Amino acid sequence: MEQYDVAIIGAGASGLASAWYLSNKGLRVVIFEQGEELKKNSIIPLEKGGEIQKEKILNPNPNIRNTFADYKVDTKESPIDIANYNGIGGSTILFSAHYPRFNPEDFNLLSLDNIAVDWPINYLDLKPFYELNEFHTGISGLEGNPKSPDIKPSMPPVPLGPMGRKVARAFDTLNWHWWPSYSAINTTTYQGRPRDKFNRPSNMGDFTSSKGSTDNTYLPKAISKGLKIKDKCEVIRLVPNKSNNLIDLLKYRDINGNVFSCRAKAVVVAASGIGTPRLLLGSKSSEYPYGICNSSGQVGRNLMLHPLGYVEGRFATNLYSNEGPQGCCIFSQEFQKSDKNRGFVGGYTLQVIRGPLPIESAINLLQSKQIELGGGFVNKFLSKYNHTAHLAVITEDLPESHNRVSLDAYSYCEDKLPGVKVNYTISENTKRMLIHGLGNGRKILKKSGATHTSAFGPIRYTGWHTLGTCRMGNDPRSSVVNKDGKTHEFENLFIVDASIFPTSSSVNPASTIQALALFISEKLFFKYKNLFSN
Amino acid sequence: MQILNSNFILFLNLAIPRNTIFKYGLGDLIQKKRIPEVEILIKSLLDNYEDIFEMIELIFSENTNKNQFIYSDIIDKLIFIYGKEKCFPFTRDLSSFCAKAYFSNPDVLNAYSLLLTSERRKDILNSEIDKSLFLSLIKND
Repeated sequence: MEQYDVAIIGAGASGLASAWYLSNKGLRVVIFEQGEELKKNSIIPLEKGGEIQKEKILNPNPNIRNTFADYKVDTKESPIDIANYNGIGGSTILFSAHYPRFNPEDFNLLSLDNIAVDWPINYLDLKPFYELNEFHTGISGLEGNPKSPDIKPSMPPVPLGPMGRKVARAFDTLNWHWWPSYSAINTTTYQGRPRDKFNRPSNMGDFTSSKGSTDNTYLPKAISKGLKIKDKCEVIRLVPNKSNNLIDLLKYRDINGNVFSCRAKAVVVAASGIGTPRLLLGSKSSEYPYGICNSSGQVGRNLMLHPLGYVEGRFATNLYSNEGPQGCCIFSQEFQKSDKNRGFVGGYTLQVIRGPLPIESAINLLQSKQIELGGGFVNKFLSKYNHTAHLAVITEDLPESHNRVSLDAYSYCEDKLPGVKVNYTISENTKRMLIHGLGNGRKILKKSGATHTSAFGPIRYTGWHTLGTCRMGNDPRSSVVNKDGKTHEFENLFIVDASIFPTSSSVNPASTIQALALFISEKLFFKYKNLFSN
Repeated sequence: MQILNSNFILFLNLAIPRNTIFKYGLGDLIQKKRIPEVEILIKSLLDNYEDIFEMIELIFSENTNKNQFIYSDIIDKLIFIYGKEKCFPFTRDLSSFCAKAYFSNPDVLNAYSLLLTSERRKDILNSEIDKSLFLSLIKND
C-alpha cells in the first residue's frame, strides 16, 4: 500500500499552500485532487469568442459545469448558489484575485462587539504567514492603507481605468475611505511570472501565468520539492482507528471507478467549506454514524456565504468599464466596522468591480429591458455597452447553526461520496446590512455622475466564499478543530481550508485562507512532529 | 450537428437583423459558422420550446412574403396565443440565447470593435493617470 508522511486532500488555495510548506520541509507529501489541470491551451482567447466558455468549462456553478470532478450541490433551500472550481488550483483558477487581508478586529467579534464568536487565534498569529503567502503569491497594490497598514505590496496597483478613477473621485468627494485593490495579479514581472496585459478578466482562467492562482504560485515550487500529485482521484473515505484516535488510511477512487487505499502519518483536508464537511460526513460508519469529527454535531454547520449585492450606474460616456482585472479596481472599508446605530451588527465592504463582457452585458441589458431584440438591437446595445460602473456590496455573514451543508442522502453509496445539500437563509441582520450597503452604493455612483442607478441583491450565483462549516475553537463541544487546525477527535487529522473560519469578515477570504494553511502547516511540522518520528 | 430549419433561421434573423456594419443576421451567422457551445444552446432552446417554434412556423406559413415580418409582431402574436406567463420564460431564454450566439462570434466582436486592441487597452488603462489620485490618497491619510 502507498505510504506517505502527509496526504493532502484538495489541490486548491489552501491545499497547495500547505503542500509547498510541508514538501519544503522534506516530508513525503501526496496531494489528491478530484479534478485535473485546466490546460492553458483549452482556454479560448476572448477575441475568438472565448466568453462562451462561461457556459460550461469556465462556469463557476458546479451543477452547470458538471464535469467528472464536480459533485452535485443542491441549493434549492438556499437563495445563493455555490460557486467554485474543482481542479488543480481549485477556485483560484476562476477567482477574481482581489486579495485583501482580514483586519485585526475581524478575529475578535465577540470581545469587541459582543457578536458571534472570537477566533482562538488572532491577527498577530497569522501576520507572518500573510507575509509569507504574499511573498509567494505576489501582490500588487498601494502601501499605506490606514485600514491595513501592514500590507506592503511588491508591485504597483492594477490600473483603475476611466471607471475606477471616476468612482474614486466620488469617494474623495464624500470623504469616504477607498483604496486601490490588493490584487494577486502581476503588474510587473514577479518571480519569473510575467506582467498581466489584462487581455481577459481575472475570473475566466489565465493562460499567461500572471495571476496568483496556486497552479502558478505554489504548485511548481511544491513539485520541485518532491510533491506527488494524484489528480482525477477523489478521496471518498477517511478510515479512523478508534483505539488510537488516528486516521488509519484513506480510500480514493480514480476516474475509472477503481478504489485504492493509502496510508499517511498525517492527513490534511483542504477541500473547501463544502467539500470538507462532505468528506467528514461521508466517512460515516457503524462506529461513527454521524460522520467523523462530528460528536459535537458541528460538522457542516455555521455556513457563511458573504451574501452579495450589486449596484450598477449608467453613464452618458463610455467608461470602458470591462477593461482590467474583473474584481480588482478599488474598494472601500468605510462601513466595515460594526456600528449598532445603523440598525445591524457587523459591517460590509464596497468593492468596485469591472463591467461585463459583451455576452453578459447584452443579457443584462435585455433582461432589464433597457434594450430589446428586433430592428435596432445592435445600435441600442452599442449605445449602452461599457457605459456602466459596477459595485459589489460584500456583507459580513455571521455564523448561524441552521445554515448548513449536509449529505444528499439519496445518492449515498459505499464507494462514492454523495452530493451535498445546502440549507441557508439570510438573516434579518444581513438583509438590513445589504439594504444599507446598496443604498450607499447608489449614493456613490450617483456622486460619480451616473444618470441612473439600479441595485439588487442577494445575487444568486455568487456563493464563492464558503466559510465556517468545520469551525475552529477551543471547546470541542462547539467546534471541529482546535487552534492549530487539528481536529479535536483525531491526533493526525488537520483541516486547513475556509471551513474552519469561525467568522467571515467582509472581504474576499483567499489571502486569509492561504495564510491560515501555512500557519497550520507550521504547527503540524513543529508542534506535532511526533507524528513523523517513526 | 443538426440541420437548422429555415424558419428558425428567419426568426433569428428578425431577432438580430443584419445592419450597415455587419451583413449577417443572427440566423445566417449561426449557419455560417457552427460553434460547438452554440450548438448545445440551439438544441436546448429547440427542445425546451418545441411547441412555440411550431407555432412560429405556422405564423410564417400564413404569410408568403416573409420579408414583411417584424420581430415584435411575432412575439406579440405568441403572447396573444399562449399568454404572458407561458411566453415569459421563452422570451427570457431566447434573449439569453441570442446574446450568447451572437456575441460569441469572433466576426461580430471584430466588426463592432467590442474588444480593444492591446495598444488601445494600454492607452485606456494608462496607470500614469492614476498616480495623482494615489498621491493625494497617501497624503490625506
